[in-house]
Amino acid sequence: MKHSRLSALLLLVLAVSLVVSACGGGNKNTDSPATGSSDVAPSKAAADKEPVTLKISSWNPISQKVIEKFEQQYPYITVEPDQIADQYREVIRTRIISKADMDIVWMFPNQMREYVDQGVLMDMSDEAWKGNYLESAVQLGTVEGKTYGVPYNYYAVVIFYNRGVFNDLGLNVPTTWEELLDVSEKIKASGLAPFVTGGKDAWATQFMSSGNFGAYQNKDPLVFEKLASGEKKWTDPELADFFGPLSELVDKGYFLENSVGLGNAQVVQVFKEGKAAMYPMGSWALDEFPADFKEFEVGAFPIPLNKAGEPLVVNLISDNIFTGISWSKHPEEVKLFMDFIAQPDTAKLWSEDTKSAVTVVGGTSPTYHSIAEELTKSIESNVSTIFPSLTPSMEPAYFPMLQQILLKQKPDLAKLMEEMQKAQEKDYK
Amino acid sequence: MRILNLKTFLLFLAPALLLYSLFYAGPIISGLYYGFTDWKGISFSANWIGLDNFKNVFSDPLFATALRNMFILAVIVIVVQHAISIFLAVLLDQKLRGVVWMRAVIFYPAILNTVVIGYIWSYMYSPFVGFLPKFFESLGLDALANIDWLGRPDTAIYAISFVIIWQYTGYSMMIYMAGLQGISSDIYESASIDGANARQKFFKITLPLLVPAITVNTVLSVIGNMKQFEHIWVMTQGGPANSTQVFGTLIYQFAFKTSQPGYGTAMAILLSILIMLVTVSIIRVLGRWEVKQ
Repeated sequence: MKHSRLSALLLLVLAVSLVVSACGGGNKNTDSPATGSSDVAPSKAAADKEPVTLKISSWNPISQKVIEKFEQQYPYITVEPDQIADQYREVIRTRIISKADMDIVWMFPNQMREYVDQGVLMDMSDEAWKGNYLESAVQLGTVEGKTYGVPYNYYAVVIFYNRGVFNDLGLNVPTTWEELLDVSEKIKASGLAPFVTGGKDAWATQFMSSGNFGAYQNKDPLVFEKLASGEKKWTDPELADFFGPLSELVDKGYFLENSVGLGNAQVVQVFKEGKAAMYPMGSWALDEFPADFKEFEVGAFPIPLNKAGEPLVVNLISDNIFTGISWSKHPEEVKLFMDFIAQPDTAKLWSEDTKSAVTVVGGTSPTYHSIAEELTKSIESNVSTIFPSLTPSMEPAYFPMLQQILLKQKPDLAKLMEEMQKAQEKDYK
Repeated sequence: MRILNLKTFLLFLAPALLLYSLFYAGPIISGLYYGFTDWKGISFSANWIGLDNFKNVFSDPLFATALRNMFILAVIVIVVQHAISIFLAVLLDQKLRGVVWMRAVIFYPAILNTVVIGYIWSYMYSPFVGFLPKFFESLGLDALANIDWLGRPDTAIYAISFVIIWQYTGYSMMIYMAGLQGISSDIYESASIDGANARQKFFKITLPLLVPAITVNTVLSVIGNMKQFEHIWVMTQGGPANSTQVFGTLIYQFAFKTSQPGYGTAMAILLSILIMLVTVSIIRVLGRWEVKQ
């Protein structure tokens, strides 16, 4: 008798705890908005407005300080940040198909382009704040003359390097392709691997070839639109050397041996252990080197794929386009938020808080990281373009090619460009 | 017992029928439809393109890779896994000290989360930072220590197979133990009286009488391995250089990463047909070997 009652009680506890843990999983990452005295007078009309909740979906955290300042200025609006760290495109796709309640949604550039024809996005072409942003940023959010949003943060595609190794070998930061090869040869001669880049996380290994995008755009800003529409082809002669730099580095043995199976997290670990001198990556990886990283001094320089005499074009990655959903229940509040973040002092706050540069002109804080000054200087002293996004069928075709090259399979580079073109044709409208 | 009346009968049936239609029948039927279209996955509209998707699948070089890997997984994993689990089942069927604990330890990986297993094993395989290379190094086996198991096209699929065998050996061992329980000990006794040794007992008595269990286990394993997705996706994502692609990863890639879910659905349909064909063949072949006690 006692046995069955005890087991019944245990079962009940188990069932209840299962239910509670399933329901309690709701995110609690919204701290209660700052109350207390505000130094910005709330807009007059706000006093008699019904409370509004503005949902913002993003893949990285939204700056909490900016949210607090916005809620101070408009007390009737509560911002509900919704961070989706994984499978972002798939989750948003599901919500759009089911016309879920959304207001502001970050979109990747090629993701945004998918939805433009479907009437999913608010048209922001006539908003006054467009002028506050870098032109290339507005261009990224514009399709066929209509602006649907602007990307906010930008990162640069760089090579992180071990300053200790460079100092010991008396090396200078390279600014041309020839200088980079020279530096690599000297590092290899000293017994250290020049580069580490892994291979398992192909998105992380693409920068030595994707770095070419900047040079192509510098010559023709619309080259990627033309590739997407069929006006240009990946097999055209200007693009023939796309995989050239990467192949050259592999052929000269400048990548760490046996490292193709490393995922990005492991690559960072290997670089931090000093097993390679250089690590190509986007500057968001500055987070990996916080102030207490003391193993060696880290520096960063833009990837010099340019031959001597050609300009060094810095690739800026800016892809978090703030868009408004056309069926949002609060279009006015969406516009208020977009206007708010376009102001340079809000942008500076965001830049400090998210430790990155922003596309609002004059909105980047000069102190968002200890390397920031060196990096911002080299970015600003060179030409820069914004990294394009490729159409959806490109990456599954492109990324395995990188692995083939890194694996020293020596694929025919012309054939690879043909495969890229074939993949591009699958996305022709 | 008589059915009260048709209406009550249908009302009781309705909830289950509803769930079944919404989550099984509905998607299967709509899947069959979309496999013949060029559906882009955003709206529900799509253009009928007949057998074009299927033609493209057959001419896709990745299809050949997927078939090859599926063959490796289905044959190698099953042969090795089941040989080991039959051996373990016979071994642990005896009354040894701590045998229950041993069975639990061997079975344990089967209930662990596959994604966690994938991540931990891919870390273990990692050159420079992983356990396996450091272990080989400490044994002085530098040649083995330098192999990038998951990063080389020629070793990746086998490295993944090992993890799958590691995870599911305990599971098939349990099914074989259940099969062993069904063999009456009288047969073994009379064989001993006739002078049979342990090896003869195993090959002439145990194995033939285990054939029903082998059939069940093999069919389950084959279906599971042909549908394989999680291990490969977590450990190599179909790489390096598409060398570990299987149907599961290709379908996921086409359905969700590129905007070609119609093509992905066509692949899924092909996979289902293949699984059905293989399963029926296995049951037929193994059924002929069944020996009744």
